[in-house]
Amino acid sequence: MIRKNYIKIVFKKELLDTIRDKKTLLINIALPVIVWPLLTVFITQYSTIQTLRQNERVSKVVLIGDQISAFSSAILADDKIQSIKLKDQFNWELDLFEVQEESKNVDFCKYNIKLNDAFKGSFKTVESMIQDGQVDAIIVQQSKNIDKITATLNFRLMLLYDSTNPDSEQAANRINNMLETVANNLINERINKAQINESLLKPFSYSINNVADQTKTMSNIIGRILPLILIFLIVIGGFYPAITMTAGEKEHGTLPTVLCTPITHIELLFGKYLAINVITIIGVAMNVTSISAVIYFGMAAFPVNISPMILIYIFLSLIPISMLFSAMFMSVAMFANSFREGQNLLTPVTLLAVLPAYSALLPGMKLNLITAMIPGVNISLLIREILIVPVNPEIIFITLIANVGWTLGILVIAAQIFKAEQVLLSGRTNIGDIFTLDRNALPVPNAQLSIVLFIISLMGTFYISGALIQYGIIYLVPAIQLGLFTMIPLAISTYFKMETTKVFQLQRPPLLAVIGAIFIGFTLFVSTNWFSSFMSPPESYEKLLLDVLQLNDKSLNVIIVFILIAVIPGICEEFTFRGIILSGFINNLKPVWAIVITAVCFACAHFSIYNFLPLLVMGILLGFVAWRTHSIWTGSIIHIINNGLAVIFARFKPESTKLLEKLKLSPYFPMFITGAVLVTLTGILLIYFSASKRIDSVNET
Amino acid sequence: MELPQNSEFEIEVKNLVKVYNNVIAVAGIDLNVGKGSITGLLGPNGAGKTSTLRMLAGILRPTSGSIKICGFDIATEVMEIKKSIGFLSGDTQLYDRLTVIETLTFFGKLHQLDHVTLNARVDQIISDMDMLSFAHRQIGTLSSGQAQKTNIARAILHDPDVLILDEATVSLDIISSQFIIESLRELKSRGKSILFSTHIMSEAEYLCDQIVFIHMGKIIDKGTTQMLMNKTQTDNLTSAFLKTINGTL
Repeated sequence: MIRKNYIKIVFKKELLDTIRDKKTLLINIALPVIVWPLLTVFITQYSTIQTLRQNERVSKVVLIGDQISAFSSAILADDKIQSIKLKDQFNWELDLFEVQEESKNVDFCKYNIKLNDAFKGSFKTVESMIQDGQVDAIIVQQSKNIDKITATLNFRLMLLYDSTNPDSEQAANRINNMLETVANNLINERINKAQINESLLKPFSYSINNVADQTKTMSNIIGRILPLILIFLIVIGGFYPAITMTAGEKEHGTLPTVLCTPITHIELLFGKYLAINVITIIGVAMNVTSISAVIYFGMAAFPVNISPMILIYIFLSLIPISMLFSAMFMSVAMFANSFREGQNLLTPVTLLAVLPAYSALLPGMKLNLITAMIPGVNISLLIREILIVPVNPEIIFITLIANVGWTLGILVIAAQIFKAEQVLLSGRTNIGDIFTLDRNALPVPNAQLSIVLFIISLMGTFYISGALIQYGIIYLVPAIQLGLFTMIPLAISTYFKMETTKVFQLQRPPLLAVIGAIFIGFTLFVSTNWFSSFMSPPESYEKLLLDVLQLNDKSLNVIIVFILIAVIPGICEEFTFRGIILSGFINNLKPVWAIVITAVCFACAHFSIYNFLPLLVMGILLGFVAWRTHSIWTGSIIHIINNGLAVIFARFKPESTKLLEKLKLSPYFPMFITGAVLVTLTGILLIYFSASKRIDSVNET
Repeated sequence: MELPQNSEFEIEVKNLVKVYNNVIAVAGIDLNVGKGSITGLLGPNGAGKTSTLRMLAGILRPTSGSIKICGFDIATEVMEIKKSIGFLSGDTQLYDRLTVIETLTFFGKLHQLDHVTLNARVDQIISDMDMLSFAHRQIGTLSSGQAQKTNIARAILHDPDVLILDEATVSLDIISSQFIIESLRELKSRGKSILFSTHIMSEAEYLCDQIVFIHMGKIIDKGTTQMLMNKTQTDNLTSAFLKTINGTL
């Protein structure tokens, strides 16, 4: 049994210890408070100065070609463009090197231009002159064409500039504008000369408007950079506490002092883990607050429109990832025997943690079902999307579940490491020894096993669904239900030589409990439907669910659908969730918590935010029933009838998804609801009393 | 000096074995410590003293063998054992950034002392051990003697019946060592059972009712100081120890 009190004592002590550690305090509190305003002020000032400087700067431009003089007056008129005469410093020549095409009308030639550098005595290409910063841009006349019929001269120009150099880019923009003006003037001149009405040449006019206003553009830029910075700050926020509380304690010899008190290794682990987590989350909160302050006190000179709600979302989305990193850092730092060694071990891990955050910088990356399952990648993409577009709640939910799943997995590993006395007491040990599964070690399931099975179920459901969904429920359901939810728990119980009947609670339930279960099974949908109204799914989602589960697929025999959707899940899911998972949690926690946590696992494994609440309620009820009757069969009856009703309604009364809405209009609606809820409650009472009788009779014997 | 005659042992160890990665650290030790007595575990470095004491304190799990302390079996009631013992060793350090009072309160809470008892006990220990002048200072700022005093206070805070000390006086100056030695005598007079390891023979001679020689993970002899000297026909414990060890080589 894990004792909350011990976790609290260790947690409070670690927090106090950390508050007095100047290094952690500096990184988690002082740094965010200072970094964001400073960074903003610096960027703002820098960009303002850069803009001013660039606006004032005169662009140096070289003009090459025999017709280029046409622009001389325009350049002279523009006080921001200065034409550089190369002849004074350079010997330049235009080599006619290739005549590609000759025709009657076209006098086409192409020049290879090399500039003789008088000082260096070598030839340079024009490109290198720009790259060296000697000039900002070069206009080269590439070809000229004299139309022999109209005797007009057309020529082709090439503008050379370096986009990585702001001065060069500025010059290119200025030249572009100038060329456009000159070209327009020339056109107007020729139109006038030919006495053509201008409107004849312009059948329509148009303008281009970018729908992404400056604010959105800014959000886009921030959305790409912010996740990386935030994740980096989380990483450095968790880095020192994780080492101090593990390797640091080993180095100082404080661990044996704590371990000779009546505290278990797991309680110590959780106390420390919570403390690292809270410190990291405080760091995150400080960062988000500091960013908010910068935005709302107008320190940012650029337009950003990030609402407080979005900042709260960003903060919340960072909590799971900081939980994940804390667990990861702790597990690794535990292997170090000194602070220094801890730093050496954790440095590559921090790189591993920050690397996925770069995904937000990649334009092609999108938050989808695959990326949502990858920790780090999912959060950075989520933050980017929160800032730019409205995000689908289902994806947020999957991101959350994925991170919780990963965190739990790493915590299980951390628990295993903490149990290894050689690791705790600075001895050397083989990693293999820590993870060796002793077949006699688990005569009954524990919470750790429950978490492992939950993670297997979660990941298994996700990947098997992804792989088999296209083949329909005929393949999908047996693979998940029989393969994942039945075979794996059975394999685990067999491996650890557990007593199958006891672990899976396979005893026959008392008759009264069976009657109670039937009562609940037929009426439960009324209550769960009410719970689902808190977050009702869009119609498209409901339709998708019906299609995926093939509930209204007339090509499938209804009995087969009933078996696949009601009977098999009604038994197999009970095996995993009310079998091993609930038994494991009950052995380490109070029954009420065990039931609630199992229900959360059950609801999460269905990967739907819209059905989360009704599934949670159903999970709690199924957990209670299994715990009370010591039998998963009671819950199976409820589960089968409940799912079965959904199959029958969908097949024979497709409009029944809206049954309750329709019923709401009926004058008998309150009576119907009250009746259904009363029947459910009667079922619960029947189960409650039937089981207590049975337990009493066992006690009497 | 007589060995305890009755079967009222506070510590009963039978055939205790500890193996780390195929290296045998403790190779089958049998040991009993009577109520209100002091037993000294003497042996060279690497003899298995620390491993034995850590197993007794519930920090290490024995590879095999049984340990009973205050009637509790370590295999099934390790938490009860941890409540009944105070453990002090060179390795049991304190948190540098906690004050003396915070340290004692933290360990008192881990030993499940309730709020009122804990406060009373902390006040009492601080005054008994003359620690008031540095009670509000962080451990990191204390002298090694003051820190060791705090560590003893930490080990006896929950008033355990059994005290296990692993080279507790090592690296301490004479005054601090003397303080520990006198504290042990005083604790013994209050009926506490004490098992301690040392390689300072004078300490053992002065304190112990029973001396246990341990070498290469095994007990090679035990008895009162007098018995061991008589047996080896020597006139001091150091010679008796060396002679016994050489006899086993």
